[in-house]
Amino acid sequence: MLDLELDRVLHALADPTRRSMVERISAATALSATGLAEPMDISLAAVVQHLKILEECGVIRTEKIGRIRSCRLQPEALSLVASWMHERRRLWELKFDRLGELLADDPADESESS
Amino acid sequence: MTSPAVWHHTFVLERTYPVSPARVFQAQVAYDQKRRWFAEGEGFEVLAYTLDCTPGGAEHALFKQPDGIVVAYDAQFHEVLPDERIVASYAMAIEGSVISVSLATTELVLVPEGTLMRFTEQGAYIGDEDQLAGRIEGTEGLLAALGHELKR
Repeated sequence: MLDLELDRVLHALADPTRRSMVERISAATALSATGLAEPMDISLAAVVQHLKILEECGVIRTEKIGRIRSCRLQPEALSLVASWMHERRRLWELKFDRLGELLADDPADESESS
Repeated sequence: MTSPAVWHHTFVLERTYPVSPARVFQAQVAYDQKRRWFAEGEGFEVLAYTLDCTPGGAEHALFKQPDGIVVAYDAQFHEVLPDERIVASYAMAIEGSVISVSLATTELVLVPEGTLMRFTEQGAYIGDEDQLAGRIEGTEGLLAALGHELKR
């Protein structure tokens, strides 16, 4: 069952290097870590570190086939379901922002004065 | 790919407000105050709003979106501990069809900065992929855009 931590997904995708990795994995269906590192100006170790972050939040799945670590996209993490969950969360965040404004406008504890 | 008709999901939101737990609690139970932060200010027309935040009491809100679609919010309060905790369940419906049923727990904790409010929602979200697509407005951010782009 889908139980992804949206904050972690958003954090993972906020990084441009990781976004471009996700785009390339998506375009290639499956890609090895070495294949990912090649055109990028970063070390294989850094690529592996980025992949770990993407895998931990469920955006990609990696699989070791022989000596090659292959990466695939997990489309569920970026699905309409995830978007809808995000929207519900955002709805409450907007409400709690307004609660904060209301409390800032009128911080006195009225139950004490009445 | 067709989505299952029901999804379960939990999320937690935390905010710290520089006021007392009693003040935050009051903003949850006083009609005028809750109406202001909960119902107003989203660009929706508020067709109805009632609130009775007591054990066994109910909250009802009816919103009309700019596109004319009517959304209903119906909550029941199960436990109301002044200045500490509110346990409620709520259902949301679009044009009369239930889209989610959730357990919503609001906890108020006294901290040096004021009050830590922790909101935990555990929900059953109902609908197949086509219905979900209809519920997500064009304003959606990164996830929806990426999800659409990467969907094959």
